[in-house]
Amino acid sequence: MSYRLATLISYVAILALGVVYSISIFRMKGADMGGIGPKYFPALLAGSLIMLSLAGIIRTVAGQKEDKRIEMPNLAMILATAGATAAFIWLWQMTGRFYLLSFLLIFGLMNLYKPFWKSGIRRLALYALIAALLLLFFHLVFARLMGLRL
Amino acid sequence: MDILNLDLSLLYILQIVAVVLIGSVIGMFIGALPGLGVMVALVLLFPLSYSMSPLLAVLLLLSAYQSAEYGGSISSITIGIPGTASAAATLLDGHEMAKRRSAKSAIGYSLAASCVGGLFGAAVLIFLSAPMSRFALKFSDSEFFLLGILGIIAVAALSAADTIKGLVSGILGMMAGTVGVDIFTGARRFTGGTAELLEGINIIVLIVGVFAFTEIFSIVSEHLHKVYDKKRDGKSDKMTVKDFLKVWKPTGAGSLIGTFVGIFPGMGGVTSSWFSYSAAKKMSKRPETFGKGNPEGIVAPEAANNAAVGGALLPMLSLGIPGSPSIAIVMGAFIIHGIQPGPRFMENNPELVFGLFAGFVFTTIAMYAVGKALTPLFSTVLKVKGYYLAPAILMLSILGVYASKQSFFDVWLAFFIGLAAFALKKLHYSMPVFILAFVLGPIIEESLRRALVISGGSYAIFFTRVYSVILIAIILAILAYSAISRIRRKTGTEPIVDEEDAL
Repeated sequence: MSYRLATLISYVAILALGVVYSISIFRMKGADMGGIGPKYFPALLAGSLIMLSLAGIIRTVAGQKEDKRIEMPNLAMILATAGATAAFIWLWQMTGRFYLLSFLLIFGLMNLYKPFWKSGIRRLALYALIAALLLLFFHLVFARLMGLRL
Repeated sequence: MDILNLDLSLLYILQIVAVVLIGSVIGMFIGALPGLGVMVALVLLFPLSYSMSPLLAVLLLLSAYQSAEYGGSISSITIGIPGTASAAATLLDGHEMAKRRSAKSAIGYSLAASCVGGLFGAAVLIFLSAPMSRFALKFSDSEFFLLGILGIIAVAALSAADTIKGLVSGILGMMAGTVGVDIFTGARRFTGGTAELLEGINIIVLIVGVFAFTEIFSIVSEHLHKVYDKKRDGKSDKMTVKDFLKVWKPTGAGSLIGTFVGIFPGMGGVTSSWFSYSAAKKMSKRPETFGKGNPEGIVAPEAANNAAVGGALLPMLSLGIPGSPSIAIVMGAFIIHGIQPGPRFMENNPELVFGLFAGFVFTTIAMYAVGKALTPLFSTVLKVKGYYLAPAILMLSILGVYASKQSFFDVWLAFFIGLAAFALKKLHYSMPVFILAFVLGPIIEESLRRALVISGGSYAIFFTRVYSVILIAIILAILAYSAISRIRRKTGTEPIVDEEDAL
């Protein structure tokens, strides 16, 4: 994607965020404290954000025409990692099976990044061992030492 | 028999040594784990202090505090995730130096600077307790407001690649800081009706999201098969004394800034580390090399966050006001033993005060010794390839967030913030400015509103006091300096240094 286009999209998104923030401010209930109430500072921030976003949009549209591309190598891997992470968090929240899901996530991601079938069955065993050791470390530190329920 | 002549004070000294070493090891370990931080280290050790004498109890906590502040830089440097909020500034150059030159070197700079900063903070604590605390009391709300604005503008103007994006990042950070309950009126703001956001956004969520998840995606994107622990041709990977002496200025500046900023309640290691980073960049002969592994960018924030420990102790001992939430826990150790820090503390407990001063110096030296012993272990992390490191860091990050409040809401929030931050970082929005603004936002708002209530809504209050005028002048000077530097770069009158030569 073009850097200029991506920047423009980001400024528009931030401008929209500023508008939503402003609407939330108007809907806010609470004591006014003579005008210096809970809405005062957020209103200053919203106004500043909207002005800066507009300035950014104008500068991007009217500014220098030279552009560059945003490089995102391994985009598919990034999306797969994000997807696997989201799935892990959701399943952990639903089922409570932290250790099993963590093992699957760690093991699965290592295979995604460097598949065992390219290196042999020993690598599969190595991934399983590393995942198990990591889980042991997390159990000792977080569950035992800190008393966290996993 | 000679054994009957054993000096029992030797046993007490041995107890002090044992307590400080235990605190240092535990503090360093917990500080190095992303998402846990100083507070967790102190909270875990606090129950152990009940059965100890007041001096031993406080030294246990102070040694953990000092070491956790240093420990936060270990993960910043080795895996690009700040272990503590105040180690976020160290990440910018620490992690880059670890990748380009050597993790051992970066950790060496961090440890030495932390020790110097800690000793400086101790010296100020010993010699300037009373007068420094009295000076801090002279600052009113208008000065606190301007100090906060100065912090954000200094970092945005001097560090951000794009001024508008830097300022937008700052405003977004302050907006994130408004989420929760208004401290003056109790009104709910931007909570979306969720109970989880009533206390505001957890800073651990933001730090893990902004730094950890973006680092993970960055590793997956570009560094899966890379190993970073390579020696540069002909150069040693260790930091030498001569190397460290070359960066005495930013170390000194960081120590001074850290101690001074640490005195002000609410402004501890996080604020002082960023102030110091900006100051070091401004003082540097090669500011364009910051963010690319410049040792000055490591020593300044590290000296500051350890010096801030001594600074935060000042108002606690002399006024009974803790300079940071972590120092409030240390103060709790005194209160449990029936000792109330405050104006009469020094005259009523001289032997305790002298023991505390001497012990505080010892905690800094112990931190250095323990850190030195464990550095080879820490620096081996970078020998691990990306496809092993990424899943491990991912799990550690998720657990770090979860450990804070055992909330899945926080974990989801960190995840989505991480995705957004990864995209924004590609477009050169400034994450450091965002985090600093988030921390300073509540202080800025509180000071602004209180000042305006006092003045009846008039902004003239910011121009009537000498300290305020001085701070405004500093802000304008930073903005002018930044504008002139950018114009010079655009016209080509400011030299551009080749990246490879920078180190």
